[in-house]
Amino acid sequence: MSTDFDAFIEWLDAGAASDGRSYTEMHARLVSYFARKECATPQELADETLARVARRLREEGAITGVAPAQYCYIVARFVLLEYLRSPEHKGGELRDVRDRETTTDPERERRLTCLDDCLGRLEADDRELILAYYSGDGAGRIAVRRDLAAKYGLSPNALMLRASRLRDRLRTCVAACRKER
Amino acid sequence: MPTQAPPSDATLVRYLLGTLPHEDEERFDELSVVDPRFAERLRAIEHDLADAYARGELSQPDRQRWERRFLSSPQGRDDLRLAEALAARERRGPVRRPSLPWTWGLAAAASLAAIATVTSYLIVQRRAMPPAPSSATVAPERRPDIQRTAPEKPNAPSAEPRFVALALAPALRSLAEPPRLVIPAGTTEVRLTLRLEPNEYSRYDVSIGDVASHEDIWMVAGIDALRTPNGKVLNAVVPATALRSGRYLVTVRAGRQREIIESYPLSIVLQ
Repeated sequence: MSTDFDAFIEWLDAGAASDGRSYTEMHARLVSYFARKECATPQELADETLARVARRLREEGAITGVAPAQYCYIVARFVLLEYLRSPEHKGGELRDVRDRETTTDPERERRLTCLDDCLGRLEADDRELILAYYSGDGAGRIAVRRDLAAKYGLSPNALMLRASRLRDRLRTCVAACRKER
Repeated sequence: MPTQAPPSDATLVRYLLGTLPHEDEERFDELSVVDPRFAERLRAIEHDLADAYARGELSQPDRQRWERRFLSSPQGRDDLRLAEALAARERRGPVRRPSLPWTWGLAAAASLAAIATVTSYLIVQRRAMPPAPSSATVAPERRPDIQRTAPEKPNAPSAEPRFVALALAPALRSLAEPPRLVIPAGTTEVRLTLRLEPNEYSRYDVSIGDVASHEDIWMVAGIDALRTPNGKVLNAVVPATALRSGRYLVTVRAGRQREIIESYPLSIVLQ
């Protein structure tokens, strides 16, 4: 597309030549940041943050003296402050809780069907891992995860990250499935 | 900034529930954006917290904190839906679904054993379909043999995923015209099987970039390669809604520097 965008990606890569991966990862981290700040539209706010950073880079030609990720965070804080001052975010939380409380049995069944479908698309090893890793209650999980780490030859941290990434894939799949049905 | 010891999981739970002192919260806010490893760890703890909420393991004050923080956004609500579904599935036990006999491993091995270069076919699970009109396939003079079945009526309601599958071999990458994949109306997903040339990696990231805009329109990270008699393959499921008619480049990356291992040009035609 535009060379401006290419220049933005190159700046965000900070010499790593990720071919766009640094952009998508930064976007995901910003979405999570805004979601944790109780924003109703984290995707849009992440988009706005990166658009502002790209615009600044285009206007200035360079952003120096601060690492790209750090600069993105600085801009994200401003975007958050503006959002918090705006009237659009008021009252969202109560409405959202009510939405959840009115979830119907057919909706729950659809979720389960989607979950089964999405699990069926994982590799057998991955399916087994994610179901085991996230099974049981709080206390039982510790033993299960210790056994899993031994079985897969992974450190507890590596196992945690692998399960978490799988879960994000599953979440994306289930969310897409729900919209289709 | 002085080096600090990594925070404990308990501290991160408090951060996620909004009960840390403001100074610490700001520090973790920043780390969650600038430090990818910290962000991943936080995400993992977020998953556990969602499960604890869904399974009723949080105290009442923490439940309220979690709701206020995470039900405000679509992402948080999706997290909750998945946590509830996982808990419900565990209570109920796995459902034997006869509609899922198809596995990536078998399909990939079968397709790669049966074809030399590229095969496009459409599978509708458990259904025997009549042959499709020839216009729905790739040009025979330019492409190897095509095995395909037609979709059932495009608008017929179906609980099963309807997908087209495409196996790409590295040898095709030099063709002037890329393989063309026709996606019939009603298709829900595209299943790609990417054959890899020998390399030392076992896990890969796959992305699909729009050649016209240079933008990635889809990406999946951390796919394990499957070993077949013909070498390693990767399987990726792409939602059909992510694709439009046009030219794409499927790219496989691996390693700490995410170097490009393979790339496969592809032309998509939506019907």
